[in-house]
Amino acid sequence: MPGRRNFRDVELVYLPAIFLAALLVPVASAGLLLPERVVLVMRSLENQVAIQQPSVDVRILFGVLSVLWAACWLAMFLSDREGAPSPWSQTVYGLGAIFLTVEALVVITGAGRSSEAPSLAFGWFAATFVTSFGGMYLATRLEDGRATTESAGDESGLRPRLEMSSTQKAVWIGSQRAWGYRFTVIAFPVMLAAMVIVNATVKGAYPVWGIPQWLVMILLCGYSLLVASVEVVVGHKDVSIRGGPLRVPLKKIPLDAIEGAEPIDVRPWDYGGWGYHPKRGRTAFIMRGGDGLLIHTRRGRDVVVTIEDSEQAAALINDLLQQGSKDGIAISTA
Amino acid sequence: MLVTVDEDSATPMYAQIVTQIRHGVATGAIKEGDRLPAAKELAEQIGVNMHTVLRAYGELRDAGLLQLRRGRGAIIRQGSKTKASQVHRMADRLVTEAKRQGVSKEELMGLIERM
Repeated sequence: MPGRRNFRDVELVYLPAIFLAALLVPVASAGLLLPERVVLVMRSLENQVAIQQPSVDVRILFGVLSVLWAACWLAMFLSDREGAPSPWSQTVYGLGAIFLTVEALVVITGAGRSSEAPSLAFGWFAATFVTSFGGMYLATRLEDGRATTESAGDESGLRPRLEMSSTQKAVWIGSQRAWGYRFTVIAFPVMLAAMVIVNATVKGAYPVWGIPQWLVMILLCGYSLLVASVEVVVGHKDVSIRGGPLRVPLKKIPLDAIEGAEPIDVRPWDYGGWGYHPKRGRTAFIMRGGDGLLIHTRRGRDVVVTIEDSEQAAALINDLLQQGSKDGIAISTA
Repeated sequence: MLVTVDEDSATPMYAQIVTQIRHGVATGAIKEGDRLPAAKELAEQIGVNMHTVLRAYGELRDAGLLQLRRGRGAIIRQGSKTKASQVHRMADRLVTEAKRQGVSKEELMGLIERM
């Protein structure tokens, strides 16, 4: 799937960044001040609780740390082109997620204050955001002309096969955990539960928190759990992809909707980083760099999932497709 | 991990599943703590009766390799790799010793089949 990439192809890496962007657009359009209407909505959501702004020092600290993180992010990208999940790159990635989450929460919190107040924090956060996207843009420009995915299978271009006999039946099971799986699965729910308990028992524990802040935390927690691991089952009916410790169904592709499969070498940055990346024409479940399974559907959509031993999974899919066509199973061409 | 069953094989299908999962654990293709699909789902995907998979899972549970929990599927138990690989290590020793003593592959297979 070679091709040039441009800025439009770059996906938002983090869910918190999406929240941040949604908030910064009105901020930027109003000269770094929130529109009065937004302030009123946020205030009503917070039940008229007295808003306490974080001190300027804290905001500057977060701003400086975030800018430093953006620089680290770019340095990491330039030194880690293959997307291998080194401890260094994973640490920077994780820190970025934390900073952006904190920023999103601070920005949402700050949205409840008077719109007449100067918005020093928003300036910092906007600068960070622009720096981050600048880094992403530069990084993708440097990537121009390089293949986005590389086949790890047969160099002749033939799709792998198992060559099973007609009396054989098979299923392929694979799972992949993201880096920090145990931390994510344990720490996030515990942290959220602790915050809920403290909020319910200690009056004024989170004076500036309202529904939006809790919503961000719950969504972040849920998303983190969902992309902490992935399980793939290839059977004679379909290919199913489940996510997280609760094995939430993420995608089920009937065999008759599959055109073929092949193993590929996945570089996370080509897909917008680690996580779940639904996109027009391609859906990706990226847990790490390296071995991955690419499924071509008959509707022209590709599904990519990072999984070990993807060559065998691809081979089974191709075999089952071949068996299906031999057995006269209807193959939809829609 | 690939699990294949052959309808024409003299070995019962549940035993074929047991052997392959055991082998997968021994070789590290399935890791301790990994979750296998629920019996019903695996049976549907492989195209066999659910009771075949349930019997295989039961055997693996009795061997201490699998933990079965209602509604949570089947989880490979901690320490399973050691248990599963014991047989592999013993088989390796058997093959090495057979080669050393000049026992052919056919003779060795015959000895095992007589068990």
